[in-house]
Amino acid sequence: MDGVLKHKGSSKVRLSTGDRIFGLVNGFFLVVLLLLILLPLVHMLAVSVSDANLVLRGEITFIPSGINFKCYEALLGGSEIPRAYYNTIRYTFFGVLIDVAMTALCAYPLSRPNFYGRKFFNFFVVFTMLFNVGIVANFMIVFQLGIKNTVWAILLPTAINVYYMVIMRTFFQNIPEEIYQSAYVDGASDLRIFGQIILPISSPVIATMFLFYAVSHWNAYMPALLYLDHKELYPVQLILRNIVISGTVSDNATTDTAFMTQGIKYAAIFVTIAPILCVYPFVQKYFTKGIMVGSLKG
Amino acid sequence: MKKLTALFLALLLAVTVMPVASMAETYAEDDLVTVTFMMNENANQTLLQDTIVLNYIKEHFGLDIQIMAIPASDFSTKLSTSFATNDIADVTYGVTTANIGAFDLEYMLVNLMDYADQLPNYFGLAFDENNPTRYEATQTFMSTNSEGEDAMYILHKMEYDRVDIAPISAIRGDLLDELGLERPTSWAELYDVMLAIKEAHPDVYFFSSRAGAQRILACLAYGMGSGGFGTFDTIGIYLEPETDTWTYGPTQESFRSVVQYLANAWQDGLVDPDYASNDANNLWEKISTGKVVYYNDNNSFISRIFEPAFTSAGNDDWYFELLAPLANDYTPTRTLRYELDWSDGVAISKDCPALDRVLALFDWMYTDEGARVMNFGVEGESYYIDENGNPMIVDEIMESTAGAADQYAAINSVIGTGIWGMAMYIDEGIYRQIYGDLFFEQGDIIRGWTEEGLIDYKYMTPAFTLEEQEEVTELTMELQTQFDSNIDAFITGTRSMDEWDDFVQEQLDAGSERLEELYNTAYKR
Repeated sequence: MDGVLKHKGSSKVRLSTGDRIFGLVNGFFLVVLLLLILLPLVHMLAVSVSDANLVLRGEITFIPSGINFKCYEALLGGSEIPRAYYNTIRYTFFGVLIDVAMTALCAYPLSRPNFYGRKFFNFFVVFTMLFNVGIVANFMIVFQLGIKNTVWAILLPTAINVYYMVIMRTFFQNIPEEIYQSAYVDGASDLRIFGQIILPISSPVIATMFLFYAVSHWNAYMPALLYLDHKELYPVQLILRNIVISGTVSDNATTDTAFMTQGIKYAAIFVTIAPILCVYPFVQKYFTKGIMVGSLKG
Repeated sequence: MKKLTALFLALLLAVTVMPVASMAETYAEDDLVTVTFMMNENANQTLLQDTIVLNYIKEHFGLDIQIMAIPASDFSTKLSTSFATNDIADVTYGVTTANIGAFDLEYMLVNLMDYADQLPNYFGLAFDENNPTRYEATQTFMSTNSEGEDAMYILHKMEYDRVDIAPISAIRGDLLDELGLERPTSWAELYDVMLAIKEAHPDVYFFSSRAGAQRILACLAYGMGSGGFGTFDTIGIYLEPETDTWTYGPTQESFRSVVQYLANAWQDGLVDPDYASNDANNLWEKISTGKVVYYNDNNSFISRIFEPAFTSAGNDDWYFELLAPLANDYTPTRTLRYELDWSDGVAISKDCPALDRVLALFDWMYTDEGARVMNFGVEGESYYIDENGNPMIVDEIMESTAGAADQYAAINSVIGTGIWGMAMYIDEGIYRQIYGDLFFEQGDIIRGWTEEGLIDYKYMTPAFTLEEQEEVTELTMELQTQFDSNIDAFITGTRSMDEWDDFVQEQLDAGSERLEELYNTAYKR
């Protein structure tokens, strides 16, 4: 009973021995978890900027040595990666706008209790989440629509993720019915209610959807693999994935280059995750909040 | 709200006007014809659209080749989708007999047998009776179409001039010298040598791997008189030359000896404890730092990586010595090298425009002139002839590619050549400018052992029918899963070798004999 937890002001709460032990164990567990996640990243960063010969001799663990940026130069030196990066950014930017708009437009009517055929449409939409038609059928649809080898092949097939739509629908359902009724009384149409009342008060779920869809577009490679044939349109993930998966020691590698390939692989991982690592901490609060409001009350 | 709507519509409009690659094909009957080539792009060799080779083809064959570069890591997915949806390029690289067996491609692809008169150079090489290994390999690309006629849908890649390489035993010669040990000539002698080295250097290991137990077995089983998992196979079936039949290795008595050998080695501390989880980088690190002193894998890594690493670390006296194939208890002395030629090649769509020109192009690739252009580019632009008559890449390209993670691939990328480019008749002469003498000296040794009959070329998988392929795939998956989940237990002693007969029965029950039957039926056909 000798532990003390200080609160604002002068009030103090004494901690029991059990609480203190729990705090210590919890802290220890979290530190171990942090190290488990952090150390591989530190190792990869160290290898990607260290001398290849030192890597080959196993002298690089967490502290880089013989620092150079050859791997990053080799990775980013040509025009391919920057162009692919540009493609990914525009797919992500426009994809997110389309996705959020389409998801909201689908979620809103399905959240309204008086929407005609609501149960049927709900079932119809959710059914596609449980039973996917598969790669070939999707490919045939894209092909027949004539959007193969265009940006639309990347943007349209993934415009609505049903799981995200359900989250958004649940959020809309939990908005007090009185708000709708007062708007109706004032003569507002459904479109006006949606645009001027519901959307402004739904910023947590919209921010969450932005992040979900952004991460999804950022990491996506399969639609590009299937629907695009020209490198000019490839997103960065498709190219970096090739480097990471195929880029073990090349059959033609020499001592000088064998572990440069390893370094390039690690550099590729950093190049891929860096933007998400930078953005995530700033939107994390929306992320958690949006998920909670969209799911718990459902 | 109006502003928001306007912004949204403006953004949508912007998307629509973003530059989009045109699918429109320019087709001119008497002039330049555009053809699409779907190719798998190796991570180390970027496939460029503006290369010396593509320009040469444009000028000499009137073909404007548009390359669809598909990342190698996902090429099989793309290829399967293309075949399944009948959305194939005019020419597709990287096609195997397994693809032919898995899809009904008869109505999609050109049967090369119908155009034999336009492919004299290719067929001359493919059916060269003076080269029985290639002749036999060609048979694996043959099938029968629905009308019962001979069919061949793949032009396969062939060797023009390669440095000989093989997965082969090598041991640290300096340790043998230090301990005054004789060079082993049999697997039993090798075991004694390893024990002697282990006694003097308790910290070293001998058997390790860059891809788990299968990789060790791939390099040991055939040489020890059994077989299976040859070179990069993931299944235990192999062509046993003693009986000329396809045999499932793990159910043979000889295979028990291989596993017992490794299990004993594990007990005696000769096996790297991390062998199951190592990747190539881990293994190279252990060999380069002297933790692993025996090597049985692609020999070229010795000259290209290990020995230069020894030197750079100041261990000039360390060296690997290739061991001549070791005697075993079951068959004449033997070991297995990689296939002559390659098991993949090019398929041509029936909708390919200017088919005559495309066939002429590919037939030319199998000539001396074609091989030179497709492997070195154009004389005066990308290579010159040195005093020994060898084509050598010009300094400008050598300098611009120096420092690349894989200079060989980088050179080929710039010129548009090589095995990972469009070449079909492969000449690896560019290695002369990249690797040291040891690489070529070892190549000569391996060529000598091959000519002596101590090293066999890897067998080619026979061509299956659609129905056979389905059954083979199913059986293979089941047998492979069962094998993978048990083999480490036997090696590490978690499961006693006394239970090996039970395991063999499990493999028999899982259909190993049926798999043999399917392979032998296809082989005899």
